[in-house]
Amino acid sequence: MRVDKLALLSAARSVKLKFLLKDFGREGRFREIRLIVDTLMKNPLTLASIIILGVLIFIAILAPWIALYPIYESNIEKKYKPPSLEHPFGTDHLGRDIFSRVVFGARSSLIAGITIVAISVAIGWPLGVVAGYRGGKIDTLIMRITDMFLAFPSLVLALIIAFILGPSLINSMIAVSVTWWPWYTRLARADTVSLRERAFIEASKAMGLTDFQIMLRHILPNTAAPIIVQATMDLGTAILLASGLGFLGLGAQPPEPEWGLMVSEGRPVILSAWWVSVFPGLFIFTTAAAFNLLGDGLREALDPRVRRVRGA
Amino acid sequence: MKPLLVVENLKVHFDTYDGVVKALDGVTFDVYEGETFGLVGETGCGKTVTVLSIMRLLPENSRIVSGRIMLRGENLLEKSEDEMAKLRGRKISMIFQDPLASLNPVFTVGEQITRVIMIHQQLSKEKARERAIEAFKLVALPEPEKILKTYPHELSGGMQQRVMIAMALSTDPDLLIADEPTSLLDVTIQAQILKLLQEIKSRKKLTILLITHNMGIVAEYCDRVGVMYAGTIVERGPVKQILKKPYHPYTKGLLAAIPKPESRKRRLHVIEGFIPDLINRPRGCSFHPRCPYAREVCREKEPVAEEVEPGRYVMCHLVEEVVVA
Amino acid sequence: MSGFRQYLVKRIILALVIVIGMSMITFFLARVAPSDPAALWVGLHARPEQVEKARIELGLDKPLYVQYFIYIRDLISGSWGISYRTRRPVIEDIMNYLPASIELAVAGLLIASVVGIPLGVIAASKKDTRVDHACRVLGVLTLSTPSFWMGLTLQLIFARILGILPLQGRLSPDVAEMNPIQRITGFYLLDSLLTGNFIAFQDALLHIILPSITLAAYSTGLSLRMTRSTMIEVLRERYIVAAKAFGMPKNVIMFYYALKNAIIPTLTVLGISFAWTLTGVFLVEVVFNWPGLGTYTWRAILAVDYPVIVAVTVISTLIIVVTNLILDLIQAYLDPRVKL
Repeated sequence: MRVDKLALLSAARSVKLKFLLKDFGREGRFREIRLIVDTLMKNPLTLASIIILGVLIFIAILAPWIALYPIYESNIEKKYKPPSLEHPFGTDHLGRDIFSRVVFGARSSLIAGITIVAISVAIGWPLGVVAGYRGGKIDTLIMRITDMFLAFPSLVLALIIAFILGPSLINSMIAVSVTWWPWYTRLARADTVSLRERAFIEASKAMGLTDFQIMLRHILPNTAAPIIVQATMDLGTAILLASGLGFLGLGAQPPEPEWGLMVSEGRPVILSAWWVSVFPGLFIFTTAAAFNLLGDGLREALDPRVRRVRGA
Repeated sequence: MKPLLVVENLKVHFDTYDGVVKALDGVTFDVYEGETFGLVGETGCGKTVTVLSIMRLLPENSRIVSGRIMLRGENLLEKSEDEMAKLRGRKISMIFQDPLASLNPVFTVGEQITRVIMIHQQLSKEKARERAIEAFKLVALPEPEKILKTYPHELSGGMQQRVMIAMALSTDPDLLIADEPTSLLDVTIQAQILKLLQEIKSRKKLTILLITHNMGIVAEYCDRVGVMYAGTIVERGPVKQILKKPYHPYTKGLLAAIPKPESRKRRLHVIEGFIPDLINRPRGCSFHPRCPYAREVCREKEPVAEEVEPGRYVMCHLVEEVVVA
Repeated sequence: MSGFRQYLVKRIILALVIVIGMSMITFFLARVAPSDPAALWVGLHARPEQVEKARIELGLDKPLYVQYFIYIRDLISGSWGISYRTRRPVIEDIMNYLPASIELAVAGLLIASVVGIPLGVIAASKKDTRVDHACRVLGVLTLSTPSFWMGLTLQLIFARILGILPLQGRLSPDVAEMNPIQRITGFYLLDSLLTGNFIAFQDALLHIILPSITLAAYSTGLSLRMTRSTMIEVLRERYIVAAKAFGMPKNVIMFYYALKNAIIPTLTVLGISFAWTLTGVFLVEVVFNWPGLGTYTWRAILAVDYPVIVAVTVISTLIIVVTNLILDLIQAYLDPRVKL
């Protein structure tokens, strides 16, 4: 009796799975998503970047289990050991294993990048939609403030905030977000302005939707595509900026295993112990490159004009 | 009358994510010198694809699968891109539906037309300018010298289209292809532009291939017409004859659908159904799913074009009986 | 064009508002900082009375808004305070270090534009071919390389291992001694040429190669990517197809017709490149020990040197605002669709 029940359950589940697959098939309800995923997979570079990012996230989450040695313990006798089987990336000036520190550094960098972009998007996107949709005085006010913040190169304001609040990773993240949201406001506003003239917006108004409902349900989703593309590419740049601040000593502070900080720590011995700077830098580069490639691929995949053509 | 342009069995496919779109499935027609030939059909039937094939301006994912396009006995499909570039704007000219989008917004109208003239006729800038003014006068543009200095967005829709016509005709082409030149204009301006084309045609030796979805325009301005449906020409012949006695059920439906104020019927005539999926074309006649007279043979076999009367061709199984009879 | 003049006036007012707004924000934020400027001024081992005296001298006992007005008054009249760290007038320090940064920034921007923009045009015209893919990969690589790491790596390869380029600084110490450059503009390359000092010119040129390449990297990728998408957008337009229908040959379309349409967005690209170049200057100067405003500001931040921070903020805002203003005006002038 029991075995029959199990068989029934698994049969039911397999039927459900088949329906789900069908939904994602070429004719299914979610064919839009399937189309995007297909286009992404077709580009070998984009595929590579997705794999790299997957590995990176994996490393960051499982850092405590992947790291080989404790990252804060100094071991002066072991200082400046070159890469070997014991220490794949060598050791630094305090004898700490660089591989383990790089693995933990993935956490700081990824968190920093995601936080910066998330805050910027959360502030900038809705602001841009409101400015573009409402127009008039609200639009002017928002855009004036936006222009003011755009006038600052992000690093300068980040330096100032680091100066005021004191250097740390969190503060540098706040600093960069404060300078970044204007780009999203501009992007969202431009998109919104062209959207609001469309007939379906008028139709929604005629159906009695309030401004807020229209902005939430119609404008926001339709402006998502360029925002997503920009955000993905910005993740790469955000990591570059965060590590740059770390390098200058204005971001994460020792003994944190932040990649930029690690590069600066290796600077005095770049000739003799090149591995101290090179490996963390390599990881910064790879992460940023993966995000940029993914953003590029997303832009191709989300462009409604491009994806209709089958690859030749 | 000699045929200037002969299109034989043209088949054009597009490669898309969803499959191969068989946009043109054997288009055949000919255009005689000095006449206005209308190509009429609803949106999506392949009219624009046909003329873009003639101009060899199809997008990259297209393939011309078979057929010939003969211009004065030369097959255009065998010409290289360089050879085509020499023909375009010189022997065959084309004007488009949206004149504002077809003109470059950052150059003045004068700069654009003189450049076209200079490319094809190796004239100096001043001579080209004179020719441009002549062309503007031809299309009845007021104050041609002033207009040379304006930007496209500063002109009205009608004037923009006149500018395009001037550009197209400035090199005295043999064939003018007009792709729905008036669809975006006001009705009164429409009439002006079409009458203008007629006038010019009578003054110079010009042949016009006119694309439209409007049977009224066909009735008024065309000598012969080809009715297109789903990538084929289902009926073709002199306009007056077709209007009086349409053979193909689709043509009948189109004509019946024109609202007549004096008719006592209260409901408008409708052709039931939708245009077919061009990726998975229906078997047999492409119109049969919507045809009120469809029979077994229509579902099975594709019809061929039969000459039911001299110069009148119809692609329908039903008329075979007429011919035979 | 009185419409143009109106636009000009409006933009200038806006620019002034931005600069004033920024100076206010920076000033007040800086004053709110936890460290005590008076204590910093007199140093670590001062006695409380000395700190008090310093406070009065520095005008820190007055209410905040009064301090601000004094500051603005001083700013306009050209006295921008004394650096807590170098003990020299800030304006003197800035004048010393600014030309070095400008020289580097201009070199970087030049390289980025000369490499990035044409490659973007080529990539767009040969879209989806190998050339296009190669250009895009190059763009991504330059956009993803951390400038400080690239600088270090270049130093390692070219200065230490290969030994063909200098490691750091603007001038070799022996050249600075034996063939010092007469200061006319402060731009070493320019001044040495103007005074016929070819030894120094060559030396300065060698010194600027690595830093400017490092600085240019990010902007190159950015310019390439933005120019490419602009050109692709333009080439998709209906009027390009129409131009082909009128028989315009491809090279005329690319380099005459479409180019003019692309110039206006290209100016935007230049503006953004410039902003990022200014951002990158900091890191590059620190890595290469380049005696410019970047290194100066970095040291000022580490030393909590107020007057310098505020002054540098105002200056960089000014530079960016003015540059954007000029670019916007050029754009408005060139685009016939903008109703002025």
